Amino acid sequence: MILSLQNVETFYGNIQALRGVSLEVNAGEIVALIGANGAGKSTLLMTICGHPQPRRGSVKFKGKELVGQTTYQIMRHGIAQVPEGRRIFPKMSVLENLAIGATLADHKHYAKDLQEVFDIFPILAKRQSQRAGTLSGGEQQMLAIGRALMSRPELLLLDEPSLGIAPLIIKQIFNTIKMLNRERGMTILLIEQNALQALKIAHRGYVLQQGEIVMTGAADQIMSDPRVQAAYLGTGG
Amino acid sequence: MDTGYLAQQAINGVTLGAIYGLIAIGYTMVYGIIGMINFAHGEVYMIGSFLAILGFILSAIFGISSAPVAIVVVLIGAVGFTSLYGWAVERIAYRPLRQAPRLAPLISAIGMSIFLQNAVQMLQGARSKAIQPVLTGGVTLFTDNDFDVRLSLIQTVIILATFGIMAVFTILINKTNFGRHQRACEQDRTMASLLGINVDRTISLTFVAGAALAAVAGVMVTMYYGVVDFMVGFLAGLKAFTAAVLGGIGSLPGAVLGAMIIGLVESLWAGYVGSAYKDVAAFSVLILVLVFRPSGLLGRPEIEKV
Repeated sequence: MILSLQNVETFYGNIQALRGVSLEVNAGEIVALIGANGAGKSTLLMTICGHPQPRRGSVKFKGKELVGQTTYQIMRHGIAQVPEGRRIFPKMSVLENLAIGATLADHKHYAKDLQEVFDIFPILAKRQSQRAGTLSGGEQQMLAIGRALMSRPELLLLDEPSLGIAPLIIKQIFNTIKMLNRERGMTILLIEQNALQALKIAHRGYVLQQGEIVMTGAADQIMSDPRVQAAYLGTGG
Repeated sequence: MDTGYLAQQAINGVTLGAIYGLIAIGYTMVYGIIGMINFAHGEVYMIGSFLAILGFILSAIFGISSAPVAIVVVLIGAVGFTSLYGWAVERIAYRPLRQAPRLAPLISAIGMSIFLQNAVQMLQGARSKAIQPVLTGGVTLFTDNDFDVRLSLIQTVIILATFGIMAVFTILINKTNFGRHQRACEQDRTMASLLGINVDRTISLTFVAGAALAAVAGVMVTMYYGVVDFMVGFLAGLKAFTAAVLGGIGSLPGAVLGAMIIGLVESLWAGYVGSAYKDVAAFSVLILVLVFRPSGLLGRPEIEKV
């Protein structure tokens, strides 16, 4: 087990966003976290990264307690996040965005890692000196993923990579996520509103509802659950 | 109109503008990264000036007779010490208020400014301190109707040093890791921390860099005018702030451009209208800019984030 959350409770002021969330991610897995808008999915990812800090509970990465550490210290353990809304640095060039992603990486393999990102997303190589703010939504998402890969993370946290992106690009991005996991053994915790897409490539899944985990199991098991189908997959009666 | 006289005022104005520019960069960088006007920045410059006076007196006592050596020693000493001030000001007055409403650090800044002024007044006295000119001499560029247009050695040093330092600084911000981290924190602090950047340290270093440049300005002014008192930081700070706003707060080239304009306005006004109202002229520029182009010459209008 590479990541484990135990009874995590996170608050925004007096409003409780996570209620006793327990969740595990094993090395080499893709775990999908699905749930409606406002269920607390993004809060969960940000809580892992220490921003905000949980009020109660424990977050362990490779056995080390993360609660109490500041965000930049947490990321040093080998975690990278592709956050909601991509959050690329719009005034910097594509190349600079990638360079800044390598902040935590060993400088020696910078050139190699950069080449790998360009191999995965050739469009980024073509646009490398362009201001990141001028990229299309899909390209920005690729940049955000590329930037996260530059730190050589052991655990990749992905927050709604399909949000606001053209269907064709979504397919490409999901293929990339699958490839990163299957070919490179990268452990991935994936948040999606697009539940079907996420569960198709995931090994296991969790369903989050109003800050609580209401269901967990193998991805296909969740996918075939009638309640999930009705609520998230739009196929049920 | 006499071209000679005009040229002389322009030289004086550029010298002044160079000094304002060094201070303005500190305002604009701090604003860029934490969205706050560091009103204690002028005081940091004032402390730099005092350190320069002390430094030049000490180097005379220790028998450093070569002016260039003395200047370098004083610069290093003043920059080192003042950087410490910049770091401490951020740590004491601003960091504890990082999550507070915007008004709180602003008031804290004004408090810090008053505190530093009073501290220096207590330690150094209220009377102004003066030193002998460190560098004398210069060249006559040309003569126009019996009017000698002079470029003094000290003006040359100020202009060259300022532009040299600005060039180095531009490279620092655009090409180095620190610069990249600095700009990342400016654009999105949370994202910067998600990439492993120590945001607090980057902010500290920004204050240190701003303070170091203000110290250089302090040393330059001390060499130029030879006089300093505990109040100099207020007016110079305000003018540099005007320059930063004029150029577009948050923009480095804007700060330098704004400073040049303020320096020129001030010295041309003093030369053609009279030195009595030169400050009025400088601040009128601020008012005009705020009315007609609130985002400054090179600034972009701030877009509210949703």
